[in-house]
Amino acid sequence: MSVWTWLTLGGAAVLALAVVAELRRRLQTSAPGRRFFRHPTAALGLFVLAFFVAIALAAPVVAPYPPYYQIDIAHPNRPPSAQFLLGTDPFSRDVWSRLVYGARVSLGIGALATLVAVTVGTAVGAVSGYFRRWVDTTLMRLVDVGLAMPRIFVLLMAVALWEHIALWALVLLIGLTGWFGTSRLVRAEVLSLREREFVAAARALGAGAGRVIFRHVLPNAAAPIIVSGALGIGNMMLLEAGLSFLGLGVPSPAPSWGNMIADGWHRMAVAWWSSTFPGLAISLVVMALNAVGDALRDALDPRREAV
Amino acid sequence: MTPALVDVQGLVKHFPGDRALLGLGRPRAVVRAVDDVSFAIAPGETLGLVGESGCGKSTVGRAILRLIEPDAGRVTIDGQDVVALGARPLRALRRRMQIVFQDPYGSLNPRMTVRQMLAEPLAIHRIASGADAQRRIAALLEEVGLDPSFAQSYAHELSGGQRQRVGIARALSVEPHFLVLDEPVSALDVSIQAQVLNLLAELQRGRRLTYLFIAHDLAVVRHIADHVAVMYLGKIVERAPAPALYAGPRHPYTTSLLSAVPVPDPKAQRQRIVLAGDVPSPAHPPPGCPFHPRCPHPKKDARCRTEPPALREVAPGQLAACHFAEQPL
Amino acid sequence: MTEPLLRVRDLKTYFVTEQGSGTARSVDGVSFEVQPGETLGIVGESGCGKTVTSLSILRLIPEPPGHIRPGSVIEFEGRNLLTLEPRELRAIRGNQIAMIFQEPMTSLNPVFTVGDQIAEAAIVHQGLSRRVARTRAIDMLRLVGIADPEERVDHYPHQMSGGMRQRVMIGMALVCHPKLLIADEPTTALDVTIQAQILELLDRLQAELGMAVMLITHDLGVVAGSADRVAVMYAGQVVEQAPTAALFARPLHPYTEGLLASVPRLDAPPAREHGRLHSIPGQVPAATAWPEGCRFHPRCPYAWERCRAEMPPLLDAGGGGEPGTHTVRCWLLTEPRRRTPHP
Repeated sequence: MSVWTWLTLGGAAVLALAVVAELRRRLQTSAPGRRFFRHPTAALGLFVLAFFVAIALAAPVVAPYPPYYQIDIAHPNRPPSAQFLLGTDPFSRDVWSRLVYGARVSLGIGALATLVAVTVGTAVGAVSGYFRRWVDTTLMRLVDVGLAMPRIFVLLMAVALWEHIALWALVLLIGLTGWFGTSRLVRAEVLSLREREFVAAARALGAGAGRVIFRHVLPNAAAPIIVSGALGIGNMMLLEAGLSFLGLGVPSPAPSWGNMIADGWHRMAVAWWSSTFPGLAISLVVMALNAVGDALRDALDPRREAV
Repeated sequence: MTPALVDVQGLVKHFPGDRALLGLGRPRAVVRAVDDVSFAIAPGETLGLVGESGCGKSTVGRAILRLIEPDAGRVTIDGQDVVALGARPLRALRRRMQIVFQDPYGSLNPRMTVRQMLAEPLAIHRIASGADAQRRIAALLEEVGLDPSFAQSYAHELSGGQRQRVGIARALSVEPHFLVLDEPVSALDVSIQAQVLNLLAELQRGRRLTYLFIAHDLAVVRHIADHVAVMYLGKIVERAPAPALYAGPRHPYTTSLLSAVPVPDPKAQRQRIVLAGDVPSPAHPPPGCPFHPRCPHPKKDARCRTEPPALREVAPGQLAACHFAEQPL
Repeated sequence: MTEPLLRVRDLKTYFVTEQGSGTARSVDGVSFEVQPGETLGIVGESGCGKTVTSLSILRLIPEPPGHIRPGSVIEFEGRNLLTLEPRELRAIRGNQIAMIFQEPMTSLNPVFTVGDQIAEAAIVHQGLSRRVARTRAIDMLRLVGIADPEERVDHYPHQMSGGMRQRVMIGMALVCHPKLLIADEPTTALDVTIQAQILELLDRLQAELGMAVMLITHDLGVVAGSADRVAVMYAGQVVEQAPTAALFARPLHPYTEGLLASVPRLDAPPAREHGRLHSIPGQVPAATAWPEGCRFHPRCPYAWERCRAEMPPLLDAGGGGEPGTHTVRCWLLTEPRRRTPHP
């Protein structure tokens, strides 16, 4: 670790702090904003997330070594030191650098898969809840099947079809097997919202189904969707980590926190740092996501909308 | 006689009740929410539609506008048969007929500003956009008694009376001829009720609007209606010009309803008719005359239990559905 | 004059709001008395503080956002309710002072039978056994006019109509024969024919049980028919207090005057023929920002400088009765000639 990389690391931490402070300041004026920050873990979680996102985005600048670079093949498994912040792995690659680049992959896949899941789930739930009757029945039977299937096994079977799975395919697979719960949630919200008088008013004014759904129903259903999304990213990340750990997800040598754990697995007894730090990173981020999601759920609780 | 602007003939709306056997069996009971309702409203006039909860008055209002699909009947608005219209012409017709809801808190989208709410109908019907739309919005707000600066407010920043005015402005934005007012003042405080009622009366005069005023409060209806129709269990039981109805009701339910309204005068010693029993559920209407179980008429007899009375003219312009309408209470 | 059953003096209940909008002074110096056996009507629109007043009496105000200010006095049969231990207070609630609410569906527990709920008060306060309490419950159901009480006692709230649920609630409130019944908008959510039934029931029960009733409502018609005395509330204060007949015959406060004039009435000529309904301009101010001086002055047709600067105290309006019978919070009492509306 050179002076420069220490500086960039510090810079990322400071940036994360600044982001949290600014958010807090801006949200003071709204009741949900204040409710959000009343949770002590919310700000902490935001900081952790902001920090990891920062180092992921600035990976080329923050990481002291390129992720595939095998520094000294003769002497792998160097313990954490001033030169190698988190040590080197059995292939003599800098764990910290791979962690930083791995953040891009793990966070990216988690976020994108969630985006896929939330989009599909919202669409299905909205259509189902708004149009009801046979559309609803058919779609919900589909969702029932989807919820009943063992997700891990389906994923395992699907990825087994690829030798080296492309990242976009991984995102789609994880996303498309994970939208069923969201669709139920959205359907429930839409079912109740469609009976509200402002929806009837929009229809009386001549609004078509599309306008009613997009401008009236969905914006008012946003809260549970957002919360389920925030909590869902953690799930998606764990899934990706699990698949990668098994060697079925992100293919080596591209770093992902999951396959980093796998890489260091056999040397755990003597070189604990290779597997432990990626594991810690996953845990930290997932906990942060849960804390933020929880605080969001409380902040956006519609029962407290007045005042 | 000028042709009626709104002509409703034989309107029917039934809701299927719960199904037996966890949703797989035959429907248990049919809720006859609206059971053969007919009336007409002349242009520029107000028909007050009164009744207690479960009588079907709100369903009538929504069925006329096809917010709920009627099961049978003809609804003619401005010469056009509303029930048979396809989606496209129906949307065009929506400019002529609008609705104002009861709940000022539920009828406005919590996520939209007043400006957005008023701009939407202008956009849907391509009436105006851009600066022209903004001008119209400001004019509408002034017309309903709100300062144009309210355009940037959200619903939760407004009081009940202000929200109701926004609801009225929204309905007026498409320049309708006919307004269904579904209990527009029931959720407002007394002092605000009077303000909004005055506003509605002014708007009617200024824009030559025709109103269907749905309410449960007979005292309120008295001050705004030209004709009154009283509903009970999905049927109209009495219909008359307002002065005639209030001076001499012909149906025992109307009489009981009028006598039950508390009058703010401690000196008014009235013989209050207190009906026994509850307002019946429209899922299980009694046989014969729907009112007979609670009817206090001294001449009530077996015919009332078996034969539903027809709505017939018992005095010029005054109709009642009672076997003994000639001998009112 | 007999010792009042309930004496409220200078009651102040404030709420802390979330935003920086400050404190909501929902009840700001309210005083009144309820004599044994009489019905006091408390009339006001939303935001006037009448519900908070009734909840304060039984100390049902949630303490974190709300608190009853020191200096407030609530005396029941001479005892200050605000200084009682929780145990002593619980012995009074449901037993000597009972309360019924506006929404019978949400005030009744949906998972218990109505019989259980009525019996609960009897068991807790009078130590009756379950069997005896059940008989009491059946008696109460009969008393409040529910047919087939032996069957109905095992029904759940959802099996009953709105009117019947309200009767059940009245039964629950009266099972221990309280001396004071606080009825907070008991008929507002009911149809008008059912409202007539419930009001008649309350009248009958009051006569039979000899209890006092505090009837809180926004409906002047209800108060005219049921109350012996009326207190009109506006913006957290009592603005006029008088025997019912006097209040309706000679409303002295401009707010009372305006309210009475703007209620659509069956016994007045319809506005349709005569132009407009009278209305009070403006709207109720927010509890966090009461106007300076007299709180009604922004909406008052007679207001002058003194009204804008100084809050009037409750002044005696005389009117032939004992002093204090008819009180009004208005400067017009000192300068009656100003009672001409501004052009």
